[in-house]
Amino acid sequence: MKSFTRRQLLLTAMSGLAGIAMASATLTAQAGGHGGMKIDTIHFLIPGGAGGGWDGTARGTGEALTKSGLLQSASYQNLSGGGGGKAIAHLIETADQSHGTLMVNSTPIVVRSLTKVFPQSFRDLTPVAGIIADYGAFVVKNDSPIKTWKDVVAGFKDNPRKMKFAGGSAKGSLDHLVPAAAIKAEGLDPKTLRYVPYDAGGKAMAGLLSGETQLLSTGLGEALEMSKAGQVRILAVTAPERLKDAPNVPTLVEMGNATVFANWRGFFGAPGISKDLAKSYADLLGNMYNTPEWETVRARNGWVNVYKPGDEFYSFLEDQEKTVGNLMRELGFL
Amino acid sequence: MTLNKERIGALFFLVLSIAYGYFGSEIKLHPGDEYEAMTARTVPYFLALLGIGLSFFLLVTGKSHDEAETSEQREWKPVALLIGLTLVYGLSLDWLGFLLSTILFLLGGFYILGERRWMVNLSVSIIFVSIFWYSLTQLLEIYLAPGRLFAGLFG
Amino acid sequence: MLEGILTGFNTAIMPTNLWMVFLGCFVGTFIGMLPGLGPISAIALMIPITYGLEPASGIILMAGVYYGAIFGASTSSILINAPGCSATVVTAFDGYPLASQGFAGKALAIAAYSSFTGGTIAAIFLLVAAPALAKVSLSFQSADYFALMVLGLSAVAAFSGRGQVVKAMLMTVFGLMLSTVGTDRATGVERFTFGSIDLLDGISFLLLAMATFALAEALMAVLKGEHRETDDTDMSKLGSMKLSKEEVKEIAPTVGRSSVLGFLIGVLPGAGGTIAAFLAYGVDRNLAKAKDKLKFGSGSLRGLAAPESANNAASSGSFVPLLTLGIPGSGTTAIMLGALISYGIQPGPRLFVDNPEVFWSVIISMYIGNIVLLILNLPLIPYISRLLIIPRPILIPMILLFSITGVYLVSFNSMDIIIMAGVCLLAIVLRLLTFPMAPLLLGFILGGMMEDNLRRALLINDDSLSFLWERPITLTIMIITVLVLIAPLFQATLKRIFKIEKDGTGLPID
Repeated sequence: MKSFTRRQLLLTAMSGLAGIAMASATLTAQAGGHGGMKIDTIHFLIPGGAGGGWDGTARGTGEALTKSGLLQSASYQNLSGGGGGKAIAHLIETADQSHGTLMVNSTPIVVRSLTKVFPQSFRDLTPVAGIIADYGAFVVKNDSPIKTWKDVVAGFKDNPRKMKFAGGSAKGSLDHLVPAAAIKAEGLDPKTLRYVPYDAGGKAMAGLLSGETQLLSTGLGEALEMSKAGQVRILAVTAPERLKDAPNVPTLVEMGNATVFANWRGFFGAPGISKDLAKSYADLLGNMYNTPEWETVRARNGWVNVYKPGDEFYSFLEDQEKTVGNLMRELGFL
Repeated sequence: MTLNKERIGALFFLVLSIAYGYFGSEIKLHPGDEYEAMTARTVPYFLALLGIGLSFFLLVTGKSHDEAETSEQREWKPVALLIGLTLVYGLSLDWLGFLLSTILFLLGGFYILGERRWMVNLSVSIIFVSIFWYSLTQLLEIYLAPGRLFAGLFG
Repeated sequence: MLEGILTGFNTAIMPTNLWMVFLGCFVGTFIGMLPGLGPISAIALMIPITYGLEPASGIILMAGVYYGAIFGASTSSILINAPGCSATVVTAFDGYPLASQGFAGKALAIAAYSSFTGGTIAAIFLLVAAPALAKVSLSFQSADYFALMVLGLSAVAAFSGRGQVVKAMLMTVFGLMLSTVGTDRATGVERFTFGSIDLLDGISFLLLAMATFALAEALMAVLKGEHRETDDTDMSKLGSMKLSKEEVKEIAPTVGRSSVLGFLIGVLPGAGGTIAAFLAYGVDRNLAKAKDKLKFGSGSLRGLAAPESANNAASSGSFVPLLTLGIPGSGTTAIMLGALISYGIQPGPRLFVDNPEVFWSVIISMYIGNIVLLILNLPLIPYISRLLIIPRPILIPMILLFSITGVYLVSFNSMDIIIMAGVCLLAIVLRLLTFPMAPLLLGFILGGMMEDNLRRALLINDDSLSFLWERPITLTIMIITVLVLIAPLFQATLKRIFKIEKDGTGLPID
């Protein structure tokens, strides 16, 4: 760098300026030219900062796609703010130039549009595909007197104050809604549930281990690691059937509680992109599952493959919105 | 009771605390919150009271300092211009893109502070911002959104 | 354990990893030196690069960047009074006055030696006591954290000079108020957002620190007309970088004390380099003799050595909860946690078992990193000081730019810049009204955590405050808090007692 002359630097600057103009031109040209729907490059829009869950999903997907050769290149843009609302607004505003963009998102887009954190919902975007999911899990410390989910229900019937659920996010968020739904399915009043909020999943886990709280509601991925270490026991998981990563963990369904809840992560396109383009993206993501590169990414993150492309994704989101909406209304959050 | 520095500050905080307390009363409560020991309003109310108490105390006890120091010369104009420039920078970033708006920001800053050698200003800002931009986007592979004005023009 | 150390040593001295430490320290120092770009920005900027590396190399690189950035940030705190990150805000209190008096070289040398010592002492602690310390912080509960935050706030008295106590308290309250802006982390309701999407996530600490310190300081210089002083000769000359024996003797106890304190605070999740630096400064100021106490804030060697040892020790200490519990002790380690998970490494109790090479090599590379920093930074200082020969009308806009981009390049939200401008204007006005800024930051950091932990403790304890006296850890911390608060009242008496004691033992009296 130091050997650069002034003129060279000036040239670099000029070409940089031209580069911006050209990059934006090619982006739109390429989006306009989609006929055969061969996707060469994807621009990932990440509604949160570097290092978060959304960031990991987008970069992990991009890595698997490019390394396996399904995609030539990927770029990543972090845009945090407003609980993800900033990025949604950005994608809608710049929809015309954003045909090459996929935004990563997850269940909170449903919850946050219900609670009017942002005015938009998934309907204002083009849902492309859900790719992975994490199920809710109820966890106790290894030496806890609570042995099974039935103990939780019995304790709750006795005195809800004695059976507090802790979680790594605010009241009214997923870690709260999942136990509320499970308690409701047992025919008990979810409004009496005492929820102890922590500001991060890791802190909630530490709270459980310190003996401060007895019962933790969290994602299975997070609980599994600690359970393998023998520190905690997982009482139940909200998956429809037993998972191959956790064959010993019973589901709520098999214990006669109908609660099934998946915290999905998936991708959205800009509003107004063609059906063909959206399908091409979904197909591309679908093809990714068979690559060893994806398996590497998936395994190291402990993700569960749950592929829901296009319309299936859309109707799944509608269902989830309805279930979550009803529950939140009952709890008084709406 | 003269209006010295401490009293001006105390008045500011008094008004601030009252406004804070007022807006604190507009915080939404969840149903059932009336039975909670601590709601989203508890801490704001406590802080508003504390703020009112402390600023009132300062208002009453505020000592009159030697006012000589205020005669010191203050150059408000360049400061106001620089803050204005920052605002313009914040507004222009999305539209002009990082490279162009940052060059303009530096040029504006140099000009406001009285540096009028245009060749120096231009070369410093263009070279510096280019290196910065190059290391961010090329070496560190950080995505900087292109200006929407250009994206719109060429699209 | 010895086996683990050897594994770590072998991993750490692999040529790639040595190169990573070196590169990390260098890049970190460079980025950290630029006012406005702190360790959070530096590590965030590094994450994309480290994706292609081996996990151990990646975390070693980021750890190197971390120490480097704090080290570099001290340099900009001292030379131009623009803290590169919040942990070095306190460094500027005495470092900058020293530099303006023509002792820039000495100040930088003290910073380098203190950081080195702090980092090294902390690394030894980490090596010996990591598992044990993890257990201690594992048993900390919300009630204890709440007590700890209260203790932190009571340190405000340490920063406020004569007649400034009420103003400092008001600024603390203001900081606490600002911490309530945004979505409430416990109930999820919006507070003081006035319907703005940009306030939903609250005000970022980085933004507040940058706007009230880096930006405001630069603009204060303009306000006072300092940008016209073209030949700032006293700043371009560094002065000697050598320390006399007396000076070493003066700061040695401070460095030792602050290193231990810093490490302990760093271990506690939620606290971090900033709080460690503030506390170490306050403690040393309180311990100082009346005559030395006056020098604090106007170029005290101890006032510089204390925060420098403490923040480096704390940055090593914050790796304890990160590596052993998977709990980030600071904003920076939070980013590193995210990066670790993306490597497929889940920090936590299993890390010892599953990836011992990662755990131990990070610790070993801390030693190497500290040595690299010492032999890298000291010879570089004369070159670094060249930055200051740049004419002010050119330098000031650049400082403004780095402060702004330091915030923008983390959030990529241009609205943050506009908020910064407003906060900065307010900070300037408050500074002119002689209100101190540091308590604002302290109140802001501690405020959110204090509220969350109190509310949680109440919820768990079924709305009773009895945990304050029923939990031994909480009670102990509360008693210390009360002692800190009432100590100034008895200062005169204490002084008399100590003087008598010293007379009795024949020790010299000042």
